[in-house]
Amino acid sequence: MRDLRRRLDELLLARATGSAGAVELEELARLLAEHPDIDDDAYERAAAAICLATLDTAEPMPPSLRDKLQRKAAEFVASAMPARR
Amino acid sequence: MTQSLLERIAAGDAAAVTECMDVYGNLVWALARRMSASAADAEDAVQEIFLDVWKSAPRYDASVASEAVFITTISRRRLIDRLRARKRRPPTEEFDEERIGPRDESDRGALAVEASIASRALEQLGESQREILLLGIVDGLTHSEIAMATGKPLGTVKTQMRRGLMKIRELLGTDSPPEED
Repeated sequence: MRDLRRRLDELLLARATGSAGAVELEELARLLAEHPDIDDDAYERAAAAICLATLDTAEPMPPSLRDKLQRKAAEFVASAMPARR
Repeated sequence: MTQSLLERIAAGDAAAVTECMDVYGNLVWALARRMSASAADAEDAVQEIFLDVWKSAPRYDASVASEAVFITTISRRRLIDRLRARKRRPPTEEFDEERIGPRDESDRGALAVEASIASRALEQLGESQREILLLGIVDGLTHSEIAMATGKPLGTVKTQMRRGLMKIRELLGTDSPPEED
């Protein structure tokens, strides 16, 4: 059991750092399905916090991208929440 | 208690969908620019990410992470997938002490609590460990690429990376990892 937890930890770390390949990700998915109690996002949340701590968000999105996103948002609302509009 | 944007999206509030884009657009754009090979790639990625964020809103748990961390986690996962699919890496910059903390002080108010904790934790790490962590997390280098860039053995890179992330994860109050050898 301890070896299994260690392997899971190794795979979760690899996923969080972007070092996991397709084979590792498949193995991770299989192990997580067998152990749904694991907090599988914990390393990724730590990595996300590091990104936030080092990120410069001063540059706004290009206006053309904002327009595309507005259209995507409208499509999403129409398809996913039509009753609430 | 006021509902978060993601909780409002999950509840079917259409206005929250565009508000989410307004509040977190610059954040997702900055992440995409950092982890994409070109501006065009970054624009495609941002659209994929927001669709994923809106669809994932019902999974958001405010007791586990802030919205900024939740959205950044989704963004990174999507961006890493895109890099893997294209089998190429974004351009990297030299390690620099100034990378710790946002470059623009006006950003500080928008930082999630977790980001402040991570920033403090990064400052507590040794220079070598911090460099390895930032090369992996911020620059997107694989363990092998970090080993080549730093001249350190692959095993050392993995250990340092794991310990650094564990420290931040523990400071963020998440569960305990398995014991080390």
